[in-house]
Amino acid sequence: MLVLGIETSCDETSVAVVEDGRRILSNIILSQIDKHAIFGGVVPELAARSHLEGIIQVIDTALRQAGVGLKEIGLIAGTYGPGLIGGLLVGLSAAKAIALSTELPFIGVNHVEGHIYANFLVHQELVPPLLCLTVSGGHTNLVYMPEFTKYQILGQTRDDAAGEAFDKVARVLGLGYPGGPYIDRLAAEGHPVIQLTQTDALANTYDFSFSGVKTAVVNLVNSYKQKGRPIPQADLAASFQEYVVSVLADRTFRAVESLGVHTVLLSGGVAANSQLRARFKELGAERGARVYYPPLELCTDNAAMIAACGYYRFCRCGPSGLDLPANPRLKLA
Amino acid sequence: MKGELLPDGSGVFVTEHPKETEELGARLGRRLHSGALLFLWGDLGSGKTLFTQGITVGLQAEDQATSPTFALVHKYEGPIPIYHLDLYRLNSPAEVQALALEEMEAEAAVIIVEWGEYAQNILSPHRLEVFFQRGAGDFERTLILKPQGEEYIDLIKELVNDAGFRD
Repeated sequence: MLVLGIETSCDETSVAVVEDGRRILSNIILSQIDKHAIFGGVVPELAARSHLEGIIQVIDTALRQAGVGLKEIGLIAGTYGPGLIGGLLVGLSAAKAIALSTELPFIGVNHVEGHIYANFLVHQELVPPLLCLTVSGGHTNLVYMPEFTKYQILGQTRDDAAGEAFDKVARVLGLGYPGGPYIDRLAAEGHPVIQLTQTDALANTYDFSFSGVKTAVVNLVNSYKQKGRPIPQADLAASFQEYVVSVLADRTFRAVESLGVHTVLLSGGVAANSQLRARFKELGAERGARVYYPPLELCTDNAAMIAACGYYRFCRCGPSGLDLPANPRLKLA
Repeated sequence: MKGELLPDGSGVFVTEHPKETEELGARLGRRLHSGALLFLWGDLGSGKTLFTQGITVGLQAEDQATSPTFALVHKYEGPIPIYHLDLYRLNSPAEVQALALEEMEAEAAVIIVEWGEYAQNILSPHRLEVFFQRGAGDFERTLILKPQGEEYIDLIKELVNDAGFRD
């Protein structure tokens, strides 16, 4: 079955055609990052407007590049949350309108669930049970997936999302947006020699907290400035990144051990981080777990993962009603 | 935690540890009525979200607050619903208008606004303003709670009495 997926929950207007939840025929991503970069983050009004301007053209392009018409599509999948309400409404309305006019079934997809399925598009051998760490600008979830469409959230952030912490630390260090790639590059030039936090108060849980380490960086930068000393940018970036990676690895591999899982997925924009990938590969090899992550273009928001997720959900649970509302704070249950 | 009352009715609080900042938020939360409006002013990492986490505890919300930077608005359900806004990424009052804040105000909720510069003239002038400043060391913070409206004056006195006076 061919699935048309539509994703507009944040920066990207994306539409994809995916076969049987596994094979990408097209995955068009119109990014707004350039427009938002000057503001140091996503601007919601701008985002909704840009989605609206781009959506029809992106749908056309996705179908054309896949070499199919709407007649050949079997299911329309659209993100209905979580995300920014203005953007969600644009994509969800488009998905429902197409479903209504073509009499195709429609399925609403949870964006966070979608991220997990990015891995299924490139690793054909992948099947549950598995553990997935989704880390992005808005989400930090450690999820156990015993079978398709079943999830148990083991841990999540108590304050800032991992990607958000990267963005905010990048801002404090005067780097660009999004912060992840800048910190990743800068960290490679430095050493993690700066002690940034005292104790890991959540060490016995699977939850995360990145607000403290962000504040520690702000404190240090302030104190360097007050003393008129140069800021050791690269060492700060390396120390911050080391902290984040080690916390993410700690939670994930403790869960690997306690659940006896042998498959670990990384997803979300922060899964593009080179140190995170390397650490997970290394620990996976040590602990007997296979570690998977998507290629860079599937780490960040894209509609192919929404189409893939929609396919599995539709096959097991049937279609959604056309009255499904957008839900900015949608949870993964 | 130390507290002091200023002649203009503001309360000045010095917290020595993030736990105390959160505790002050919880004490405030226990005293907030529906319709309360708070503006939080302070730099990155000065304790705004932590303070808000305390408020959600004090108000017995179902979820603890997390950073709303990504989603702009978080709503926490409970005996009194709480709207937690972070408007850092907005660039004009027009963009704030699009969030339909007046609908939140009509809802008998508590509204907490971070980076609220562009919401100043849209939301009610009756509000509690909270200013966060870094103190000596990494953990010390000074919080100034400034009442804009009768309904917050007694509340601040109570918080100061609870905190113990500064020497």
